[in-house]
Amino acid sequence: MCWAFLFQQNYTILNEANIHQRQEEDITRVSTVLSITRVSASILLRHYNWSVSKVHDEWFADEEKVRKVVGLLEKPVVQIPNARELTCGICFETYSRDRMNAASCGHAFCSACWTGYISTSINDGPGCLMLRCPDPSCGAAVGQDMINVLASDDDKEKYTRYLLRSYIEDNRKTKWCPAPGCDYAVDFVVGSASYDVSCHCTYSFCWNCTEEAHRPVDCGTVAQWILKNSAESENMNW
Amino acid sequence: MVDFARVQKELSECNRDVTISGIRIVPQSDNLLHLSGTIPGPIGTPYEGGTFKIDIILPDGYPFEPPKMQFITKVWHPNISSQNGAICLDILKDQWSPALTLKTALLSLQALLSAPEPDDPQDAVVAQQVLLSPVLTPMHPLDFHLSFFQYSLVSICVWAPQYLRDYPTFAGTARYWTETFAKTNSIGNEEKVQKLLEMGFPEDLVRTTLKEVGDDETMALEKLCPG
Repeated sequence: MCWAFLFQQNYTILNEANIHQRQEEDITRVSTVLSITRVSASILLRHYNWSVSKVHDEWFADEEKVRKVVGLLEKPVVQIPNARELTCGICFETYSRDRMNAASCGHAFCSACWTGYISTSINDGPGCLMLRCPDPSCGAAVGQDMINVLASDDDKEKYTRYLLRSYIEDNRKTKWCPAPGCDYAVDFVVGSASYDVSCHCTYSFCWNCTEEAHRPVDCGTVAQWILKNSAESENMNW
Repeated sequence: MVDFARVQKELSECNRDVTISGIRIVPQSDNLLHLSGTIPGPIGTPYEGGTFKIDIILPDGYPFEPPKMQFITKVWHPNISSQNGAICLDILKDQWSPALTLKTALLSLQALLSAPEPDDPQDAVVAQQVLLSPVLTPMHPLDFHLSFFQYSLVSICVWAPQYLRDYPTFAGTARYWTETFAKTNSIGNEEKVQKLLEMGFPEDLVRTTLKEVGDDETMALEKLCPG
């Protein structure tokens, strides 16, 4: 029994399709349990490093606080005025109502300005996954639904990449295979006895320090060894 | 890329109520990418009575990227470099929002003058310099002009320690700088100062001498050249 446990594989290798599927499943789970939209669920998960249990814990402990911190408003903070034409708060031009968009807060800006705002943020890096309403005093989250409507195809593609990468990189249980050019990720059962992982790309590495597999030597010794090897003085000694 | 229509609107909107806000923005060049703003020193602070000039450069991505602002007028302030006028303010960096404007940014600078933020995280190298440098002994503003150059070697945000430790000295120095650099007549004097500087006189001496002789260039020159 005890031996069987040792031989059981304590990790799973994931390709892009697997990663995507898992991410979707997690989003579905949160969205169903909390009865919120999938976009909101995605924002929540991203905020809590894709830990479904953490999202559940925090949400049921204090929903109001979570909503505030993450920027998921239940109702708009401002009502979009009933006028036929509105002034955009960024370019100060006047547009008809149907050309204005707002996040859950109700702060309306024209489509061109939204596109510029989103594009600047996406080209700034993965921080775009936590995009907020442009109004300085407003913390309302801007989710993928708005990105899909307002961003260019290029930017949408980048956003989706960042979202996928975030699922692996921000999650405590997953890591990318460190081999150069390898696109597989590893889902590891945290707390298992052996750190050895063998990726589908044939690279074997240590989960803990992501250096080449080094059992039975411990990670600290390996780090020292690598440092020693890289130090120029050792070559001189030779 | 820059939204010129918006910049034009901003300028006319800002200059419309210049009598109320005291904040003025004028273009430096004809393409609206390089502007300069002026703010009055807030009343009840060591900056009262001064007029502070700020250089504004609009990046390509404006208004989605923050404008680059820098004080042209020398200011003694924990969050502003005494050397080159660089500003430590969050809304000019990561807290910028396209819904803010040049005017609101200048208003924030004015607010920063009234309420310095000495606890703001600052340049580590400079901070170290502060700790190591003998320059930092608190100084009476009257002695200040003697070591102007010594002082100006240490840059930015450095003055936070002084602000925290010795507020009277800080306020005295800030007032002295406002008197010397930010009073309207001293701005008009800039050309004369430049001329005398080119002749090789030290800046602090040029400014004090000009002041003593009532801004008369010839008299100042006579005074500067003994014999």
